[in-house]
Amino acid sequence: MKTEKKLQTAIQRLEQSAQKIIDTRGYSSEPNKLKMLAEFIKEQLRNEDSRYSTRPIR
Amino acid sequence: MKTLVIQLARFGDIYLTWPTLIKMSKQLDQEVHLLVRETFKSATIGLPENIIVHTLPSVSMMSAILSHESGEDQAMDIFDGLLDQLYSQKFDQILNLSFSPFSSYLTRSFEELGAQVKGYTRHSDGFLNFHDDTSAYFYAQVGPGRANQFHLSDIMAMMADLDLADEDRHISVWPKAQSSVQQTLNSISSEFIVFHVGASDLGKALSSYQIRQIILELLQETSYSIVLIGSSKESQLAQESKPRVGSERIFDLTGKTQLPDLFSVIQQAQCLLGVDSAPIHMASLVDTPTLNFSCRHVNSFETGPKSSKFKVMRTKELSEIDPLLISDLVLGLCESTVHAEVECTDEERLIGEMIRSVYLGTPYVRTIFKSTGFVLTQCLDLLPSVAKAYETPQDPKSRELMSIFDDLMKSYADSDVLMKVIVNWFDAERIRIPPGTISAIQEKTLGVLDNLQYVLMDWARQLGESVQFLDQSEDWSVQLDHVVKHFRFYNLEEGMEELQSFLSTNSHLFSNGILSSEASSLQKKIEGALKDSDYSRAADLLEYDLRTLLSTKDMIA
Repeated sequence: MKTEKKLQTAIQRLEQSAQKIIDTRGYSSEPNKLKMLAEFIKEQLRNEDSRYSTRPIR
Repeated sequence: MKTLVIQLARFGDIYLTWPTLIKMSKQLDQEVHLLVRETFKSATIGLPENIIVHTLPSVSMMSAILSHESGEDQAMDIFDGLLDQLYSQKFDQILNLSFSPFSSYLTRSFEELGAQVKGYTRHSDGFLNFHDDTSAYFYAQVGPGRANQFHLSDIMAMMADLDLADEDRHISVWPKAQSSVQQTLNSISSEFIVFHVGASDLGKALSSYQIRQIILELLQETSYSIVLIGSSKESQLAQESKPRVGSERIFDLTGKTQLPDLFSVIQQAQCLLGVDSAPIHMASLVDTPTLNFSCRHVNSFETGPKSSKFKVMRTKELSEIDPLLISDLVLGLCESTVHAEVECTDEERLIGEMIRSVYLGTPYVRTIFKSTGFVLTQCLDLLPSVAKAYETPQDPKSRELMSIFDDLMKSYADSDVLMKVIVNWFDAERIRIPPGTISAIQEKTLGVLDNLQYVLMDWARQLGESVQFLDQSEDWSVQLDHVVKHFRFYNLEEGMEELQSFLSTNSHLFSNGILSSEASSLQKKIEGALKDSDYSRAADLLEYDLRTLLSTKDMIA
């Protein structure tokens, strides 16, 4: 539970940083990379947790 | 051509990618690289050596994130290391076979460097995009509960512009099993079948009771020995499942094999039994007959077995599988009397035809559901005014109509499986519209709406020539009689069941649009009567008010 909260915070922080850059400078490789890492964490939560199938993330 | 194939899903999906990877690697002008998560790298053992495997250091990235407060920076450094390594390869082409958000951003980063990309990527403003039609098809139709009936291995091959022949689906060389595993197999005096007792997803797994019943049935009705396979986590399940009788014919390898060992184990077996999981796809690669237990959480058409001989036992829930049927099916598979195909229901056959009509241009289905005609006509009536609204998108009235149209399309997809194919195709086409000026987006949206209208008109024209209805259900009026009768005579359980069935088979009559406000107010009254246990009043409302309302609606339609 503690781990999940930590990951949710990390996702939130990455998404907020990406959004700030998009709002000021538009979409570029920098927010793309931040979003990539945020999505990596989201998928990792599901993908390597054997309770879930990979199918829903497609 | 230097190609990076991105496959960031799990074991089963990596094995489903093998036929495409192997065929690509045989092309002289191709240098094939593959990116997988490090946790699933063992599923690449046995691939041709000229395929260069890269791994996403997911474990160290996650450890960094979890280790301290701003661990994202450290994770980003680790990730940058991989990206630098991949970017330095200067790939000509990226083939993203992961179909996930993360992989779409990753693919976008290569696209920015000038690589050609196939699969999910991002528009220049960060929104999801797919350049190729196969990915658009995947987005629209693939997944459990969706209409797709093409196998995932074929879809992946299509994305690489390849066509898989039967011989491309099977491998002729595979990793040998470690000696302890082979020794166990050598000690089995009779022919054996392999039973995979686990699944990657608990919703797709059999219970220990079912496994025991299946084993007992096989021991009793066949002469085969049974080898149980599964991960170490599944050893306990295997222990619980083993019957005490006939144990000398049961060999438990759960927790004793590495993933690549399973190729050899399955290849030496007469048959593999298992749910939707990696061993099914390994059996397809080594062409071992397969009996696959499947349920509604899985789309058997897309992830089922692809051996020369297989059978898919499809039930709504795995708990409904009848162990008494298993031995005949296993014997049929081993004696070549079972054919390799997923059996379709009438509804699935129609959906398959619909997919081919929309995507391959074959004639449209002329057998439809009663609801289909209603939603098709309603959509066609609405489209000209929706197109007009898109010409003046700033007008509040236009916006309202566009929003109603979006809701209606969703309700069509929810209420009619044939319309769902078209609605999902339409949604995917809208996603492909790139960012641009308002007039450019407007022009492209109108183009997609035009295409929708052509598709629907073409279908309606063909239905006008001849139409049949698939649902043989009674007319709504007769169904309503049954519900009313049950409530009048206080057969409450039957009444509620009939009411549920009536509502689900006639959902199109209650859809948004004409008379929706009357229907909604009446629904509240009926719910109130049922809540107060006033079943006579509920029967009156159904018999007089609802019947009148639906008769009017029928006349309008």
